[in-house]
Amino acid sequence: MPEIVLKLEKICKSYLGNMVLKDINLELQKGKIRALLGQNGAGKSTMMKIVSGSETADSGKIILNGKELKKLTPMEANKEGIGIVHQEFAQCLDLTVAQNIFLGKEPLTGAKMVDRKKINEMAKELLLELKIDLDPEATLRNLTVAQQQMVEIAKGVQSNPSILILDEPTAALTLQEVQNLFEFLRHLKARGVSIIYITHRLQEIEQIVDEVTVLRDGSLIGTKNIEDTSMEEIISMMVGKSSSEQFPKREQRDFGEEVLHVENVGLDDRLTNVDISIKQGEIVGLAGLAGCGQKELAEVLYGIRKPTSGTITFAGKKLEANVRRAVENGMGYISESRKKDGLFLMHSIKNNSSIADLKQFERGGLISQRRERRSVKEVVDSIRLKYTSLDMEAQYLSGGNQQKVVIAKWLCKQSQLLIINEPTRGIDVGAKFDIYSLIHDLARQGVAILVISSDFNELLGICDRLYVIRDGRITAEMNNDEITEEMLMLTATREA
Amino acid sequence: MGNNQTTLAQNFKKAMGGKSIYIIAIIFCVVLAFATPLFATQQNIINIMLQMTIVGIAALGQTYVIITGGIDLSVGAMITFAGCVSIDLLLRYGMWVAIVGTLALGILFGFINGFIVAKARIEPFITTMAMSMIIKSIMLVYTDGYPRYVREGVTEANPNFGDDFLQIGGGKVFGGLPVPFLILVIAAVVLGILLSKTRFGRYVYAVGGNKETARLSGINVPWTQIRVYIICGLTAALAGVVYAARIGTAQTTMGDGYELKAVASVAIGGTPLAGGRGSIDKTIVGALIYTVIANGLNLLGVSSYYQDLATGIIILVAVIINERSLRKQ
Repeated sequence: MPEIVLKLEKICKSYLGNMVLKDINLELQKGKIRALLGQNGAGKSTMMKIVSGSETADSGKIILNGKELKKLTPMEANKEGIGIVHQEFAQCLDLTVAQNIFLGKEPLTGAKMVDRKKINEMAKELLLELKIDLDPEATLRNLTVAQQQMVEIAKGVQSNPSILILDEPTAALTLQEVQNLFEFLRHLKARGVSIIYITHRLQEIEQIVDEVTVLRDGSLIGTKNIEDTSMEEIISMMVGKSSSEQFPKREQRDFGEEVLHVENVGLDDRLTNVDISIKQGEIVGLAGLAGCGQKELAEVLYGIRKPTSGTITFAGKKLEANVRRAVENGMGYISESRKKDGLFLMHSIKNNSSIADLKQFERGGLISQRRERRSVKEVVDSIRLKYTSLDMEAQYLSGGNQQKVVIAKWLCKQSQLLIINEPTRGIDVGAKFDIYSLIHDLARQGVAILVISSDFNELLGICDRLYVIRDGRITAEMNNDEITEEMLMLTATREA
Repeated sequence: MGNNQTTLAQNFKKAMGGKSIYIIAIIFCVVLAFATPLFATQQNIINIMLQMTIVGIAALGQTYVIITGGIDLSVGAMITFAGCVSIDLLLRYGMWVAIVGTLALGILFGFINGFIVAKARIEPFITTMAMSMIIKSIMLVYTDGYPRYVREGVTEANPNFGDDFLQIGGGKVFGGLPVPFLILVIAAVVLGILLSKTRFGRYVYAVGGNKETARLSGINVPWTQIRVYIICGLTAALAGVVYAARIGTAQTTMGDGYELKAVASVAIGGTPLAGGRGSIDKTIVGALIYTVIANGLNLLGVSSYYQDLATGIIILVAVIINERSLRKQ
């Protein structure tokens, strides 16, 4: 009998009535590397946060080496031998590498002061073991993202955990760094450490993983030995059956003239030779794994970043990198973080909606409240926004309604092209359908739409045509009718 | 019965939501009117009008800056500089050059503040504090530390020199309304409309509400910031001119402390220093409360040693009450 080190029993978790984990049962053996796979929002990170104590499950048991852990805190989890490398690192940028690795566990001198010499020696030893070429005394702020990631990994293994959780550790790493990491993981495995490895990069798992567990929509779909399964099977487990009722029915539309023409656009090493084109009334998807350049491309199109090469033609005019010019010409951008840069949370629905084009309400230099209200009301009613008063502050709206307010802003401006990054992030399932129908309505009115999403199911559900982006290059272009989600996933993950 | 009462109270709260500062102002005045017979006299009301003018005008521009999430600590230095320069210009070129020239100087200082904040992206606190030192020092070099007097210009040939200028500070219109107070009212109405009814006004709130959203909505954020500091420089210069005209003289410490009095007026009015909210009418009420406190303490004969203690406590209480009523909304 193999030794079971970690056992999860019927773990459930919901946020604001939204079930994100449903009855998760899991067993992890000693000295095995387990991949945890699933699409964005499948619940992988939440599950690992529960295991490492930074989130608490609503119900269910966590059993470590036969002992049930109750009211787990990150500190206790660490003491029990659970180490975690978070996807979004929580680091102190102004401390050194060594100080970050041993944060909260600093070796002390006799006078209860931090033993600087010792901390640096310990860090040096650890980095050497990990084959990480870093100065323990370097300040984190001066390191590259990849180097910061390596520090985070060192921090995770520093306490000699018996279970190590890695949440997308390779997203920022180069090929060589990935190989070094893998070698170290094998070394840990040989020492009997069990590893849970979350990744989006499917091609990695065959190199390093023993078993695969797939999550989908908060449920555990299954666990397979890596020898007994295929990439195709894993992907179909991740994707599931396409449920047609998730999306409004797509209809055949005639597209108008070309609105956006992007030729040969490059941005340092983030984007290379990007060519795309969008017509009036067309919904075009940009599919790619996280960090493959889709955000950068959106920002280049909108003028937030200046491309290092190539041309962008919008509505017949060549665009320079200038956000104001892009807005004036009729481009609207809906970022993936509406609270950060899409909304004025403390301002009213009315003021949020009208801000991009106040000129149309001006009479003799003053804004006509009557015209503004009438116009905004028309727009927000047309997109079925739920509100009690136009003076209600945006912060009190639900995620889905907040997203609608951002869309209303660009409708008041009568934008011709909308770039929507992650249109339904943080929006519950019911409201998603509403946002999708809204996108269809806009397209029917002739608005060109570029949807960026890491949820391929979503892209296939709403787009007419798709581009696949990988490492800053457009690697494929296809019409929606020609493809399945499995094919899309394969194209997006395959090594070029 | 009990039910009825709660709904009544709730309705009242709802109607007064965010406006509790007006109630506080009224309560202050009523209490003082009962506490001392000297308070509600015509003479004292005119005094209050005069006393709140300088800080009130300066607080108008400060309101714009604070709504964008900034602060202008050079207001005091600008008032002093404007006072001295206005009398110098008056002595040489007459009243109109004095007014226009001084206001232009305020615009220039404001532009420099705004340019550094918006383009070099230095914290407004640091930028305007440094500018305050620079302006003060230039002013000391320029004046050589000597005060100016409007009446220096009086000659036998021109015995009435400066009368027109002194009217700005000491004149009365409409049977007793002080001219400086009228200037405050006009400035408040103009700047109030600019803030609440124009595109630029909306951009001021937008920049303070969320700079990144403002930028991505196509708003010229740096230019909006520069303009609010220009407005603040302009109102500080106007306050300096009115001040000099009221006392007929200008010396190198006249504006000291006015930057914080202006900030206090804005804060008492209920405009949060974090930006994104606030209004000119609130600032005027804030300036009124600030002035009434000082005035009332004087009338009550409170020792000057205790006056700042009382003022500080009253400001804190007023702001706390105001904060709470906002949060309940």
